[in-house]
Amino acid sequence: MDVDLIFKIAAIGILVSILNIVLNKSGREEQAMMTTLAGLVVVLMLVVREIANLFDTVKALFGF
Amino acid sequence: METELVRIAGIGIVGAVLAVVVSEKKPEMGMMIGLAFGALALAIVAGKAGAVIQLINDSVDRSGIDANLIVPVLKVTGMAYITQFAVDACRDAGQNSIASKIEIAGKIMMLAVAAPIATALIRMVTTII
Repeated sequence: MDVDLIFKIAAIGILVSILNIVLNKSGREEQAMMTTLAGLVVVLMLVVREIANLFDTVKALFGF
Repeated sequence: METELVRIAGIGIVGAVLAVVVSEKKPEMGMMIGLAFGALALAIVAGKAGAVIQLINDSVDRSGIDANLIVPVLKVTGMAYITQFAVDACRDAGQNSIASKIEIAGKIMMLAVAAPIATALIRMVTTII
C-alpha cells in the first residue's frame, strides 16, 4: 500500500505541473491556478489521512 | 524485522528522488511526498514498537513494580514520537519558527506528564531516609 501512495502523489505533482505549463502557454492563467489548487487539495487529503492513521497508531500503542 | 528496514530504506530513497523531481516545478508537492513517506514509515515502525512495549509491560508486571509508574514513561515516548514528526515536517516546509514552537510545546507537555514521577520518587526517598 505505501509504495504506490508515494508514486500516486508524485504522479499528481508531475501532472499538475505539466497541466500548469500547458494552461499558462494557452493563455488561461486562472485555470492553471485552479488545477494547481485542485491537485494540492487532493494530495493534502491523501497525506492527512495517512498522518491521522499514524497518530491513531501511536495513540493506541503508547496508551494516550 | 530486517526486511522492513530494507523496504523502508528503499522507499525512502525512491521518495527522496521523486521529491526532488517534483519539487523543481512544484515545491509544495515535494514536501507532500516527504510528509507521506514519513507517515508511512513511522506507521510501520510504530507497529513493530508495539511488540517492544508489550515486552516491557510483561517484565514490569512480573518484577512487581506498580504499573502506573511505567504509564507516564510510555506516554512521554509517544509524545516525543509525535513532536519529532511534526517538527521535521515543519522544517521540511522551511518553517523553522513553527517547528521550534511545536518543540517547546512538546517539551512542556512531556514535563507535565513526567512531573508526577519525580514527585513520587522524592516521596519514596524521603520515606526511606
